[in-house]
Amino acid sequence: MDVNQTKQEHLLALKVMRLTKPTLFTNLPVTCEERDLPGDLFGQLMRQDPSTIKGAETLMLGEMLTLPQNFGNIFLGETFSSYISVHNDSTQIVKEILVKADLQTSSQRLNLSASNSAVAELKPECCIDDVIHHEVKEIGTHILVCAVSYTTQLGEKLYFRKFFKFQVNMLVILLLPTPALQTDEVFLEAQIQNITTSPMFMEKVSLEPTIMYNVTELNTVASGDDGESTFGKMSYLQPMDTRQYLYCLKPKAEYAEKAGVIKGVTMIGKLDIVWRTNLGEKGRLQTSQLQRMAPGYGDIRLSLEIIPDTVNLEEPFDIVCKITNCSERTMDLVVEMCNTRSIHWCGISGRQLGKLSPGGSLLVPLTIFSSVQGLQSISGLRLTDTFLKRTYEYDDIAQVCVICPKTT
Amino acid sequence: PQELELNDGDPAASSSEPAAPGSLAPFKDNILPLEDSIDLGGAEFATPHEDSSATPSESLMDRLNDQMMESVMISDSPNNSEEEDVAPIDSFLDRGEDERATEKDEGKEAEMIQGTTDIKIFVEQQNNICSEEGPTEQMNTPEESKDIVSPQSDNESLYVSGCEEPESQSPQETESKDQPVPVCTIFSQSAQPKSLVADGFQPTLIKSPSFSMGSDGANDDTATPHKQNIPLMCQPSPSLSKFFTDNGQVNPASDFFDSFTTPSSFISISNPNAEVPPGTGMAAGAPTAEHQLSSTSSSISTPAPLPTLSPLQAVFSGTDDPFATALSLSEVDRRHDAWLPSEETRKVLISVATQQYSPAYVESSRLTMPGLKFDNLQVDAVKDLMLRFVGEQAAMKRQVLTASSVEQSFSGLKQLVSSKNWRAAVDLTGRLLTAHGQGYGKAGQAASHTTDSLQLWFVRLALFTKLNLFQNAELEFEPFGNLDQPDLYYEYYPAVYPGKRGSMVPFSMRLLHAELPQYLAKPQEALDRLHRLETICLAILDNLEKGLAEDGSMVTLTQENRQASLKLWRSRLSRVMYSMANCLLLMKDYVLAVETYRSIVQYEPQQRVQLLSGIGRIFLQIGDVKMAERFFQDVEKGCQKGGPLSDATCVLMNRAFVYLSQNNYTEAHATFLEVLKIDPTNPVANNNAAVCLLYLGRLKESLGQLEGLVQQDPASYLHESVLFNLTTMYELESSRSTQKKQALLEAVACREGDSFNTQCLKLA
Repeated sequence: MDVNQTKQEHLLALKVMRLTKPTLFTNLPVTCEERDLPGDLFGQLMRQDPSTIKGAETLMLGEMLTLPQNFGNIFLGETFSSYISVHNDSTQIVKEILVKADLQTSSQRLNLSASNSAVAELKPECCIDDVIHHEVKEIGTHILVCAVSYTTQLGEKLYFRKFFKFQVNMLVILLLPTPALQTDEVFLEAQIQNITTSPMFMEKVSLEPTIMYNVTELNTVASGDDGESTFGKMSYLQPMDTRQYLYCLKPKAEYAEKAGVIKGVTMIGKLDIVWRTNLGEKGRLQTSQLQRMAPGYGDIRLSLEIIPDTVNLEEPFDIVCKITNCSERTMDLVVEMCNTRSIHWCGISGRQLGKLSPGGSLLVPLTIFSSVQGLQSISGLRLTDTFLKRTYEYDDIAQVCVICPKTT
Repeated sequence: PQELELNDGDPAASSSEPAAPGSLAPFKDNILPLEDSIDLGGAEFATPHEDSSATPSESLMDRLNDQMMESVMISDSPNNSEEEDVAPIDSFLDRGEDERATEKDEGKEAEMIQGTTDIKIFVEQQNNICSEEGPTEQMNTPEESKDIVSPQSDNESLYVSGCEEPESQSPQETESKDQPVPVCTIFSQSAQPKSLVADGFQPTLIKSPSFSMGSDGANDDTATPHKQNIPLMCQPSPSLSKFFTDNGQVNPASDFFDSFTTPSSFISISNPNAEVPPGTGMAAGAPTAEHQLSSTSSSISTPAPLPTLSPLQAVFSGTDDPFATALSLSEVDRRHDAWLPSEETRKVLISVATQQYSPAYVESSRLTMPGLKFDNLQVDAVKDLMLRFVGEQAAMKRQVLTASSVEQSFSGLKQLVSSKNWRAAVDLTGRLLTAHGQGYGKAGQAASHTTDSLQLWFVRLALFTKLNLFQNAELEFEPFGNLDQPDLYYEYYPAVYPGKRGSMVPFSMRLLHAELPQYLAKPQEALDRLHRLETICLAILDNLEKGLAEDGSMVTLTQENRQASLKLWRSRLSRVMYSMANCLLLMKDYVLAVETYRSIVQYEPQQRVQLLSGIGRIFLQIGDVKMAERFFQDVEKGCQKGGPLSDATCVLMNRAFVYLSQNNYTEAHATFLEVLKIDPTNPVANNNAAVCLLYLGRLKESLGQLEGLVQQDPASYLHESVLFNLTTMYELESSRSTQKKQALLEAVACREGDSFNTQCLKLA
């Protein structure tokens, strides 16, 4: 502070206040009954208190707005608003005042002032006011640089600056890998954690798919408009709460055909999140395009087109397999079925399936029965490419539930 | 072109910083290398604050960095009178933007305060400085304490009641005629007519303040003869057997009955036999009947005091239909005092009633032995601030009531409470409790309880809570346990309160006890306690609906009484639910809070508009604007045009809040102004409109409006929230905020009592 005293006094004072939303004043109701010693006194005191709700004084949450009391936290995607006031503390008229507010981030400097023209003159006890807004798009240190230059009555040009530093944090969003499935569907799980200290209402969490995909949100219990959210009645996150959002992406029909042969990295879409906190303070975040590593299918991809979920014990059932040639060469395939302890294949093993050109696929109906109850894994399918004498093994292709039918 | 002389005289400050738009271009174009601009921790930047800005652009960056460092560390405000004037600031309240810069540095700190209400915690420590003069003076040296009372003692000298050996007082009384006496009204139980003196029983205290209010003339007569001074003594509950002796003349027992059962005011009256001429009003009449009644039914096992003819009946002769009055009053008593003790306590009470063993054998761990833990709370924060900022002379002008400057009685207490001198009121409750033997350091010692003493405790603890001295309240609540000890029930004192049943602890005190932990960061405990209250309220309502009395006994209530009782217990239930909802709100369990508030609507249909609007505001607080609007629409549907004014303001207020949450401050402001059109003195709308102006960049207007309001109607606007907003704007407006705050302080000093929370002035 010593340093300041040696400094020349400025005629103008610069004050900055972050404008987060105001808060509602809360009361502390203390009541008694008329028979009690204070009689109606406590009630009277509460009715006289301007911040209580008249007619319902015991309701804690009032209507009185109070200005923000501290800087608070700011998160990526929220709007930084600030009041900048330049006040003439002196007794003389000050001329040609220019107030400039810049925001310095780690990568750029932005001018936030509403106007860049100088104010001709400022009388004593008068203010120049500016409210700046900026949607924060970077994380890390931000510095608000406020510069004021002015001319005194004597023609002296003066200048000073102030710096206000703050940190921008990010909501925690985790994208979880989901296991590759034998279908074309892609499941995406997004975890969002509220690392603020106030409750956060998730106004929108949606996955915007790329052109190749259709998306189904799996965050309601029943489908349709009035489906109940899996998160319960209120869509808000308490501080430090984490929530999982699940999305199912299906390739559109025109791409589905090629899906079997899509390899490597594909873009599946981006996550769009809109949240609100106190009195509707809004934040919005969009992820970059999410990438998906298409599962490597190897040379041949086998997927199941038809399979029942529940079957009867020792009763044959049909499945249909789809075999796709994902390699660059033509294959000549032979199918073999090996029984396991519980799964018994019907029909001839070693059947020729014929030639399959690259990218081509064929459907193979097969019949099985199970000799054991319970959830059984379908295993024991072998495909052999007779050209290369290479055998591909397919175990645990799918599960069926085997039950014992009721005997009448 | 121009040569600039910059403030710091930096020679390098040249053409790059003219006072023209775009002059800062070098900054804009220079994208600072990442590591430079954030590396603020580097020691090399810790230069003093010279603002040598305008230099050739390559040095600009360095200089910028210098500045960044500096501004974070220290204020570079040109006129930082504020910072210099103000003594070390409580870090919680720091709001000057210079401090803010530092605060940002340590981001965690930033969230410490959420609501204005949170600010007030720190005062508590002061109470620990218990002055030595406190209790000792009062308890041991009655002569000293006479000073406190003497002003009023003229025709209102009061005696302490409940003396164990009343007979012995007669001589004492005469002897001590000239001695000064400390006086304590509350425990005085009766206005004893002269005629009784002859009876061998010297009744104790006579004059109660309420009597003087209600029936001046009559009381002067009764009171004056007893003006003599009796040393302040507090006794355990008297054994009343002697009062029921031979004669049927009077009913001295009633002297010991507690008294403020009359609805209109807390009246410390008790003697039914006081020679109050008819026509002196209810203050005299109603309680009379009540006490007569309670004395007639001396058997505990018959809870509904069906009047049986007794010798005491003679007493009734004077009044019209005393039975009716008596009955209805006992009804009121029963209704209000009803409570369901725990099984264990019930057993003790039954055995006391059946005289299986005397109360004396109840183990002391089951007894309530309260005592003051804090004394001399009287700290006038406003005056302290006046001394610091305005000067001694101005500070001396501040006159607030103190515990000594009012009558040492309930009415004095009431005066202190209503003048918002709650600290003084707490002190007075302390004195009165000391007089009752429950003073400082008496915790853990055998104590006697009366309705009055428990009411005093309630007031004291309620005031602690109102003053946000929650820890104090908790500590003094401690000896009361869970308010279920047998000695807190009338049945425990069959001799003193014959026939009286139920809880001596007022329901409001149970509620306060249940609510308290939530303010001490133990909301779960508060919820547990509140649920226990709710269970009992429901059980009592259930009993009533089954045609039983409140406590489940087989007593036939008249339809009228049953309805009154149902009404009372429903309102108590809804009050408990309000507390639960408030507690859930504090816990941020919004789902349950909203559910609970909604369920209150069925008990308090007349509060529907307020409740639904409140729920809407909860949703706004969470950020769920859509749900909020849904509730606000429900409110609007329920409010017809031409309905009460409050409905219309409520609807507009809700709309304004929605605009606010949409960042539409212009419309929000306009809507608050609309509220003012129909209700020009609405303090909330006025304050909120001013807040909107600030967000619109109209600081001066906003300030002007708030200042005007505070000047015109200080009664409504010298409120914490308004003053907080005003001082915040002062800080934003100019460097001279301290002077302006001092002006506010002076306004506060003229009007507010010692309970004013000075934190909102942000002076210290």
